Amino acid sequence: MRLEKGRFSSLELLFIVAGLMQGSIYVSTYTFSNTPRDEWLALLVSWVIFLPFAFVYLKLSEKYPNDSLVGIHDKVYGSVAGKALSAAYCLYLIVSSAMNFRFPSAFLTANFMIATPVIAFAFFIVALCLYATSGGIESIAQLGIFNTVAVVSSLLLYLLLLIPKIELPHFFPMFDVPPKKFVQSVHIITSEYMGELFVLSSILPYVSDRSRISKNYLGGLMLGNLTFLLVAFLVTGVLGNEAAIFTGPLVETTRLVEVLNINARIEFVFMGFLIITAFFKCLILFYVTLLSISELLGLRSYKLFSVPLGLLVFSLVMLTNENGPSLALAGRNSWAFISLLMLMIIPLITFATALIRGRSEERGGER
Amino acid sequence: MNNKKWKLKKAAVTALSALLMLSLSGCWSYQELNNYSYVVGLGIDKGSSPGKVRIIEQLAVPSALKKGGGKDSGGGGTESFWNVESDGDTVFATIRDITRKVQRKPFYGHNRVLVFGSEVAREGIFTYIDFFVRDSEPRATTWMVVAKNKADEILHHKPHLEKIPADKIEKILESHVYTSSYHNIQIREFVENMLSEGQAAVVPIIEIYEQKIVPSESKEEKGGSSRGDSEKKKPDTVLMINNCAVFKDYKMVGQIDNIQARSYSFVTNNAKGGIIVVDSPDGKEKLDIEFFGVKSKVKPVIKDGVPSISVTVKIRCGLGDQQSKKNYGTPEMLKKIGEKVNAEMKKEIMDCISKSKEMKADIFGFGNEIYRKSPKTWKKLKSNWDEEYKKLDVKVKVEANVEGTATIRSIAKPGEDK
Repeated sequence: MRLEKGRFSSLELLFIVAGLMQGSIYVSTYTFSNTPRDEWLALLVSWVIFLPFAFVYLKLSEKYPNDSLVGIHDKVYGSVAGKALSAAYCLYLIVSSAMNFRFPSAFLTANFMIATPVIAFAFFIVALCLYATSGGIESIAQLGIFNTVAVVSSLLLYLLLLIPKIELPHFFPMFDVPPKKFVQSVHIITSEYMGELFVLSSILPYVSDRSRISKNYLGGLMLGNLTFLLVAFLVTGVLGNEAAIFTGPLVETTRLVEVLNINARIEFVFMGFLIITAFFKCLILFYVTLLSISELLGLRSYKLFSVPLGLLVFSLVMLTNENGPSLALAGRNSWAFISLLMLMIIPLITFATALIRGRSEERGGER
Repeated sequence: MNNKKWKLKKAAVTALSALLMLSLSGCWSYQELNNYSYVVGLGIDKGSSPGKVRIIEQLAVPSALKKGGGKDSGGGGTESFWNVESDGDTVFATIRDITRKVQRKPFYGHNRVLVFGSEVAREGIFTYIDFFVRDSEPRATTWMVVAKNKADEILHHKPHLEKIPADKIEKILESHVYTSSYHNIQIREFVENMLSEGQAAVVPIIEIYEQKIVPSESKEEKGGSSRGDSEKKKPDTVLMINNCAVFKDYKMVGQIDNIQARSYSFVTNNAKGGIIVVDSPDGKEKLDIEFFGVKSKVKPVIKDGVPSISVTVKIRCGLGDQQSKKNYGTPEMLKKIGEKVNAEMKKEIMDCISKSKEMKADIFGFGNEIYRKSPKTWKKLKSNWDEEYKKLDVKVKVEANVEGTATIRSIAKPGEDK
């Protein structure tokens, strides 16, 4: 069932993929506390591990080109089991959206606007999501280009300004990290930062030039990962082991910009871009949740459910994780495992089932 | 086409609206400039009773700065700074307590210098430094100094040339590029050193120096303490960096002198410029050698599980001053002077290393270098690093290149420069 009338190009898909990943750069604290020196290595290992999963996501979409996540589940598992699984996914997406709405809000209030209530930011983000989704996937896709250009250019600017503070010895010794911590970092990066790309399966049917989906999807993955590598280079190069003690190592790094005593205290510029990229991730998650629930409920238009979903997410933001450490702990420990199941293991099972079902159907056809 | 334009417009409006979130600070976290006072220096001393801490905040007085500042400079009788102090149990509580005395909430984002009293430094500053790293308002780029006695005295000393003591301290610290005889350190570098494997930190010590000269009565330079007829006879005093404190595990465990601190700067690549005094090749006079570029390389060597360190220091320098008419501007002479510089600097660096070994404080981060080279070796040494450091074999090689004699060869008539 197609709920979205709009279409977007595969090039815009590249920026959506990159943007969804870039939206996680402010939560990199999850992994820097484990691998302050070897973050880059954890990223590369995660990338290698994740590539087969990206292939699975793309192959699933190729096999069911006109179906969203809910449609794929229906076809692979049958109507009842498929709907049950889709309901579980909708629940996952709602909670994931709430956590992602909460994190930038809590981050801003902890670091910059201490007196501002978290719900003020959450309300603003929800309201903006409602506005943005009313324009459909086309305007969201165009925002993706702006988001990626903004975040990459701001990171490059900060790289330029922070070059005098980057110390290469901070990267040494390499590979001297407790294996348990390294595995945990790889787990978080793979299942949370990268695994989230699975939710894009719901918007892949709306790509106008399907033949170039794989190329641009992988291009977006590469761009997202390069952004993370740039962040890792900046943070480790400037802070070294200190990166492990900060709740926001990337922002702490940007706070150290000093050029000739006149160009200091300019981290607020970066904060602006960070807000946009965090918002973009929230928007994608909100939109995909909206599409999935609307399809599951059999609604004719997803716009009917946008306000109720907005209220639901806003309520969850207020109810869940009343403090930063509990949110970080949930993200690092429990959510990483839930994501592993929902975004990597189940898609793998779905893909395997689809293959088996496809073959048996072929055999049935032959008979 | 129109639809596409509309979608693009919608995307742009969404992005701009997201940026508007920053303006939420205008609703709750608003900060009106005139409701704040600005902390430019902050001192930490022991409090009046045991277990208490004393915080001294130096606030800038913008109205006095605008008028020209200072009591006697026609600035309207108002000082350009105001020191406020408070005693308390913890740093943050005491800092907040100051708002009972200051009608405008102090803002710490522009604090330039953090002065620790010597008593506090010797006891350990771990309990005091947390706030300055944790809180989002103070900057990790704030300079750190240790007062020879009390931080209080330093922040109350009225400076020459500058209007605010904290400004003066910051400018002295920035002047290290002319001598390299002390090491500037920001809070973040200090914490980084403390977090590194086995490393100690070096922090400059500031003191009030009593000059032998009688203070000038000029209206333009009103030094330290002289006011009125009886006070005119008092010697002038100035703030001065003299020696550096060595911190190990957040505690001041000793000092290195200015020459040792310069050697420290040489080894850690922080020497920017200064003067090395060496004997002339014939030993008959002293030569001032100005250095303007120093590059050092610390290389750990592990042989049969036993570590040693090789330090190579390359110095670019030139003859800056001499007392005789002798012409040192020949390649042979410059080479000989270079050898003198090599010997002198090697001696000084070795002396600094010995001093740090005496204190069992690895200020150069040799342990960290060993860790970077061979984590396995480091793990064996780590628990007993203090003793291992004392035994550590350090080889120093200095390679000075005397590049010239500046704008002249020597002040001599033809034939006099032999």
